[in-house]
Amino acid sequence: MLPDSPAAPGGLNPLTLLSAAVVIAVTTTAINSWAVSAAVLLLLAALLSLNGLGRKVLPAAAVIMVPFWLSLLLTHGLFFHEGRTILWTAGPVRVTAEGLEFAAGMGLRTAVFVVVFLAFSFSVRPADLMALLSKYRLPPQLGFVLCSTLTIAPAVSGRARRIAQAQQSRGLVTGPGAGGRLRAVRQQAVPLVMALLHEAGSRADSLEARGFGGRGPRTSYREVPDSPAQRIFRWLAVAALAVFLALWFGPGWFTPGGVR
Amino acid sequence: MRLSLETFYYPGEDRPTVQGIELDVGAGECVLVAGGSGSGKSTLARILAGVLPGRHNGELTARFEVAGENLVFSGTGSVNPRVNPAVWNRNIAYVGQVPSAQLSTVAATVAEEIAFALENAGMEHALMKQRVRITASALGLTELLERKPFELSGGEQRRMIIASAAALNPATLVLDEPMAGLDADARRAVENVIGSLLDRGAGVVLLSPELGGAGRLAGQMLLLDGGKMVASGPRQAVLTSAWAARLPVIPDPLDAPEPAETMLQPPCPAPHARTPAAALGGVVYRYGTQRRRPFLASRKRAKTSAQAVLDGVDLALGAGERVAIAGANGAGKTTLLRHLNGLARPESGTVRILDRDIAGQSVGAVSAHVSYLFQDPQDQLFERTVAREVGYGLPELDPAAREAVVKEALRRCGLAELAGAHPYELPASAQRLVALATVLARRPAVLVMDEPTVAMDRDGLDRLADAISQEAARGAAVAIVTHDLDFAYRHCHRLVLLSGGRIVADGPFSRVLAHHFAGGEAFGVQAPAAWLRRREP
Repeated sequence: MLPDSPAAPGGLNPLTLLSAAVVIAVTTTAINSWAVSAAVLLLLAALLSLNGLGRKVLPAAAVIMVPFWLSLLLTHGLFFHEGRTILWTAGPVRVTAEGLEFAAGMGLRTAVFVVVFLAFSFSVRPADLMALLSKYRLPPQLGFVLCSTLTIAPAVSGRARRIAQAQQSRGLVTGPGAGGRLRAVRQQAVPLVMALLHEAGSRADSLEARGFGGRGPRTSYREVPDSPAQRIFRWLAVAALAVFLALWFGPGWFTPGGVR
Repeated sequence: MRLSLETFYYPGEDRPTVQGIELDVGAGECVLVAGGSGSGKSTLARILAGVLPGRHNGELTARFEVAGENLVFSGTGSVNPRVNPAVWNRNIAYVGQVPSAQLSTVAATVAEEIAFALENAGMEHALMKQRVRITASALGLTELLERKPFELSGGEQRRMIIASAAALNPATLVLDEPMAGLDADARRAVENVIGSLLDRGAGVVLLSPELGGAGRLAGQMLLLDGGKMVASGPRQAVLTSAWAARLPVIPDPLDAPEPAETMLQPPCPAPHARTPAAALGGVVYRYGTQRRRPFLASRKRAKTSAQAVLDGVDLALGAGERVAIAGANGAGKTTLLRHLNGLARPESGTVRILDRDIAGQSVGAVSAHVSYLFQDPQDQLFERTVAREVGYGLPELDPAAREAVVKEALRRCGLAELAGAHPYELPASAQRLVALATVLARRPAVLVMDEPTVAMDRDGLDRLADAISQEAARGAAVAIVTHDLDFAYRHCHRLVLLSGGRIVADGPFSRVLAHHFAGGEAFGVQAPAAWLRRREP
């Protein structure tokens, strides 16, 4: 029913993960070069595969990115009016080097963004996030909503699996291939939505009965992992990012687009 | 805590669901609220929990006296006091019927789940750690503190949620069917915790159709029927009214007059008596070995989970047999049942149904011969109406024949009136009967049921007993996993004991009892009270 706890890099504070994610995403976006984005993407893929997160993050990122890339290819790859270096043409379609470069740059930049934040959401433990919000006295309801966004996909798939088991136990034979899967999904959609609505209602009641959502401060049993080294890293990361942005976009002696 | 309740209406209802209830729980006092299915117990419990009327817009007319404060609900809505859950919870803590529905979903470990209510009360960290440790130890949860809450068995989850409420040291603790699905050790642990709360001066309200078990801790008792209080007073005095009123409550096997009964005769020979209807041969099962993927992380997980859940199980169920399977929480009972319809697949060993190996057959195909009643009816029910639910997946293609089958199953389970109701809207006991009707309608060769007695009132238990005997008489092999050996003793003729994933005893009920239950308890299972009494000189 509920999610596997993520394969988090042990002992990392959610803020450390978040600051690393922000630094990577913002610098790659600012530099805006397909080569840099591609290098960062490769590095991320290697890192994630090494600690076992790749199995979760990369397919999820592909689901988001592949349609996006296709649409980029259609809009900019085939019809980029500003393009001058024509590689191939057929009727209204003009494949230009500039168009392809623009599509690649935008596609890869967005991919870095998506991979980084998916990796963050897959590696942060909801319990850590909840504890962190309690620590900073933020409303626990906000924490719960944030955590629910992290846990909803596994919770839904758990419930869907149990409905499928109940239906199979009463004779539903799911055929092989996409057709069979589609038929099973059609059979499960309505019960799934109804079960989730029902569950949300009864969960809300029992959370309330356990004192959740009361006025007054909330404490946390869980101690969020942290260390002086992580704190220093976070400050350095934020400071370095600020300096980089000031130099990159600010007027002066550092030429933006040097890598471009 | 004192409650004087005039009426409570759910929105849109023109008749009150509960009315005319006077409940007075003194310090150190335990009150049992008993009643059958639909008697209003759970609604009353949720009113006590401060959940109703709340967001549900029900109309409550009642007066509460809690912690020296008077709260008057006058039913009209605007002038009613607003409940602050964090404060209410410290005065009246509540544990509902379905433990999995009460998980916070944000706790990563059992310790955090127990601490959840303490966190909401804003308790200081060091004190919270101490409370969690002490409560967990009292409820036998120390070993489980670092486990993930949703990985625990149903019984373990129930203890965990009770621990979370008890850790608050509330002035009053409200427990809705706290013993359902618990093994002997867990029952004792819960009884001890209730006892120590009472010693510390807390009040306890137990809601249950069962007059025995934890109900014996109650000095006072209150009987509900159709949402009304029909009797209240000292427990012993009210017990007789329960009989006089013929309420569907479940008698305490220790003090109920036991009719002279004979041990069940072996079932009459069935057409397939020679070949077992179902057979497990050398079944070994462990978690994590079924979905091995060629990636680093999952391979690591498969290696570390070495503990076998089933460790070489051989079991044959003959046509017409009525077999009870018992064992402590976590002994592997549910996993064993799941092998019989293919929901679980053995790592090694074979599962044969009607003498055919089901390896490679889909669950849907196996279900032509095997019907499975899930432990939690909410895992079983998914349709919009009771009638559609029972009709789902029936092999009869002709609508008229199908309707007749559905009608008959509903009649057998006493649900004819509820054919158009939504399964989720029904009380727990009725939900279990709907789930039972879904398996009976299929007329299976093998009928397996996981904890079918949990949350049933006496009427439900009678219908379940009838179903078991009728199905066996028809020639089906019936296997039930249960902690309720009193029920099993009356309705099954064979007992299988499971411990640590192995079958440690298997044979005629009375023989297994005589061999293993001289001390009254074995392998985390309590001997039937009726058998113990008969054994006494």
